[in-house]
Amino acid sequence: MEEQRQITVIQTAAILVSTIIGVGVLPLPLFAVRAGESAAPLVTLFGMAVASIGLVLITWLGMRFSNKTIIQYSEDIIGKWAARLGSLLIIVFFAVLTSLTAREFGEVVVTSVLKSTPVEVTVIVMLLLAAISTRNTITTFAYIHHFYFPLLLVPILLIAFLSFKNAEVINLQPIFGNDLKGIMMGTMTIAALFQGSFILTMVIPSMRKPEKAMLASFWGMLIAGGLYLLIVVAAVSVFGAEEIKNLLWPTLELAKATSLPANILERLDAAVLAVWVTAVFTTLLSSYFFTIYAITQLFRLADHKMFSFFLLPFVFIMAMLPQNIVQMYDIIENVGRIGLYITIGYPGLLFMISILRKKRGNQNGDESMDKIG
Amino acid sequence: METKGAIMNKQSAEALTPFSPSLHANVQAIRNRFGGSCDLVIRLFSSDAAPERELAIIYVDGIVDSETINESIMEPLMSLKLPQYRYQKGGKLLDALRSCVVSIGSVQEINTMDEALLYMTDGLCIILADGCAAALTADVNGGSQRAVSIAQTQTVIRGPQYGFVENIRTNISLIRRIIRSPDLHVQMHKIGKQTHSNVAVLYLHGIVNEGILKEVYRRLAAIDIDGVLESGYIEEFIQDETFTLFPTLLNTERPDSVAAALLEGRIAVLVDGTPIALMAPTTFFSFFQSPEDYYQRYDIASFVRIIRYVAYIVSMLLPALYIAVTTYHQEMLPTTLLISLAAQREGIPFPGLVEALLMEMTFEVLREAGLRMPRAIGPAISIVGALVLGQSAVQAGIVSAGMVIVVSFTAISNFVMPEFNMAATSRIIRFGFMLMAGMLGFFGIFVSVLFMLIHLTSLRSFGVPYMSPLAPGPTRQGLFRDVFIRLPWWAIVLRPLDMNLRNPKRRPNGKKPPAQRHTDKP
Repeated sequence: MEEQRQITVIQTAAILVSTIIGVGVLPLPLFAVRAGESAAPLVTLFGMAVASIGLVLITWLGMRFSNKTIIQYSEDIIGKWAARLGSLLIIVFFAVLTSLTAREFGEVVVTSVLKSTPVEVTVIVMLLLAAISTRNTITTFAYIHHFYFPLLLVPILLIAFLSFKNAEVINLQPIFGNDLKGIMMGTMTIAALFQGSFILTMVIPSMRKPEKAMLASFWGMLIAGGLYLLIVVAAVSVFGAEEIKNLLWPTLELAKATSLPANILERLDAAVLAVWVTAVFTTLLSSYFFTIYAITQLFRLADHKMFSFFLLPFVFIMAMLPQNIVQMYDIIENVGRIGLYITIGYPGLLFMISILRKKRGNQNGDESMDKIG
Repeated sequence: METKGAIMNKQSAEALTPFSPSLHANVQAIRNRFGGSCDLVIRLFSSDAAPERELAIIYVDGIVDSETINESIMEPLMSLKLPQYRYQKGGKLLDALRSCVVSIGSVQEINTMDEALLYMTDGLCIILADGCAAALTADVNGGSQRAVSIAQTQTVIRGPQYGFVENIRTNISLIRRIIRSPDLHVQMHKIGKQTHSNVAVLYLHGIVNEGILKEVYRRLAAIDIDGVLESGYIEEFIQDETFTLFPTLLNTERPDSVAAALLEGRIAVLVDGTPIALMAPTTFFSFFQSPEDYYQRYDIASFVRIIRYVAYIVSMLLPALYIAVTTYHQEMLPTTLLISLAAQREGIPFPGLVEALLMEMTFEVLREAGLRMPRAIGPAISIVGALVLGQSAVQAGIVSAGMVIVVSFTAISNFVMPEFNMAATSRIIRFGFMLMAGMLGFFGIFVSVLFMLIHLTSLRSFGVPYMSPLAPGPTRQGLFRDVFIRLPWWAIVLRPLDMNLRNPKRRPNGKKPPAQRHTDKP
């Protein structure tokens, strides 16, 4: 109990950024280009806007009920059983998200660097690492994110700026693209890449100053969205829209195309991928932590540690279900779109009902939690 | 300095044997208790002060200063000519001796046999009188010991050169001479059922965090062991986490390091019988700070400190990176370097991992051999190491020249660390990294690095996060002025530890006192 309410605004923003930025950055330019060709940066901006709506909703909700997580306050708003159904959906969704993240990164590593290693090994290594780390408290969880934040920024900025050497502005035109309908669809796909921000609903009750959560989400979204935009602009301006359609992980290709000045290292992709372990790990840690933390709260248990290894086999098996990369990406896109209902639609619903029923969580502080919960 | 209280408390639980009024019974009991040991000196005599009653002085030879006993106890007692002095029967005789005769600084009266035995083994002299069921103790601690000399393990170019010795009293006095303040508090504990070793806790009152201090006392009080021969015994009992490769207590043999730690609000633990003192709480970064950092100019100190961090990372990761690059990621290297490496490795029968493990093991064996063997055969080891294992192994085509360079540089980097225990950590972890690199390349290395960093962030040293102020972030401005680099002394306003000190400020502000440029002009 002594470690409650220790997370600062900066740590919250770091949690948001490092959760959002993960393995999704690798195929990001591909998704954006598929939807809008040269309008890819625009698609990313739109996606960021949609995701911001969702983030604002959960931040508002979190500040309204600043002592509770979404699992707890949803019961206040829409009643016990409806809320439990909602929470169950959230938990399943995040478990699936965890497994897909692990699988996606496993595929990336096996395809590009460790060609003769079975994908199961890389997946289980990442999942084990996440499972062990989730055995810490939420404060340590925040420390970890804060600590790794620079490790995440540096490679992205390095790749983006080194690759601008080869950029052609013509590749970015016309900036509005040719296909409006496609842009709309792509917006949803990109917005789905921001779903990690949902972790905020778990973090707000442990924040030192929950009233500043909006500031944290603003910065988190700005930095994460800015990095996304930077990567898309860099990839499209270097390769051009048509070329990117043929690349599975354009960001990784970007790393391959760039080399350090003075010829110290000829290709950066292996090094970047290695550093990228950090980014993927933080995303994985967040979704895994969210899953077990939510389960703990749904069943009203005190300790979330016991679930960290209990969940591991399920997540691992789910991660191994897709037959190949193509099928995996189909699943990822579909799960992402369905996820939008959960991460934006559900909080939106909760928000409206809470306004209509004039429910607030803050008046009588901690006691209300015991009475209702 | 003696903690009578501590001894009494420990003993009070058990039944104490009181003195008998008969001198001979007491003397006999003490002699029996020591099993007739030959170094027990029992001197029976009578004094003019009380001619009809026999007195006895009892001490253990060798741990007391016999000259002091002769001059300050025996002589006054035996040559006493004070007929006007009146005493009554019973304990009053001892009172009289204490106040008028025995000329020793620290004298006190005790009532039980158990105390007497403890004090005697601690280097005190016992004075017994016939007809008194009590005794006097006189502090005549002495005997031969090593003189204060140059610190052997942590040398500096600029700064005080002397180190601690094995005697705890001398060591405490060395610190007292640096911090001349009554706020320097020293609390003595006895630990060890057989050795009754003195363990002193030092701190600066008014600066130290009382909560952490209480925790130190609590952990020390919980130690139950037969003997404490070195501060390492204490360290393993009071450290926060046993199953970690990283040390969570600093140790030093330099009084100035201990004084600096006390000024930073840390707590020092000195153990009798060893020149190595412990300091806690500590952070990961304090292991990269040499005392010399604070004596040399700040720019030199900062440069050297950065070198240390780099060297530490190199000594942990270089062999692993070499294995990963040569086994999995050849495309990363510039073509010319790649060709040169490939040519070297052409005739090598082993894969990179085996080659690296072979050489690293060889080096570790050489190093340990160099440490343990008698000084006289030192050159033999250098010849075997340098010529046979280095040059000949390459010529014989067992290892590549590149590998030898990697191993040597790793080894040299390891010697840069100012703290031996932290350096040893990287020697062990290195093997884990090498194995992971051999199995999973860069991916494996980074997964293990991540794992290590997670472990580091979850460590605590007496409740202080091990990676602070980096993670969790600093709670106050200005905590980073003495972590990766050292700013000039006038800019270091705060004490470095992020741990709620009573008084976190070292200086009022971060401004340099103004200097007059033209001192010759009026």
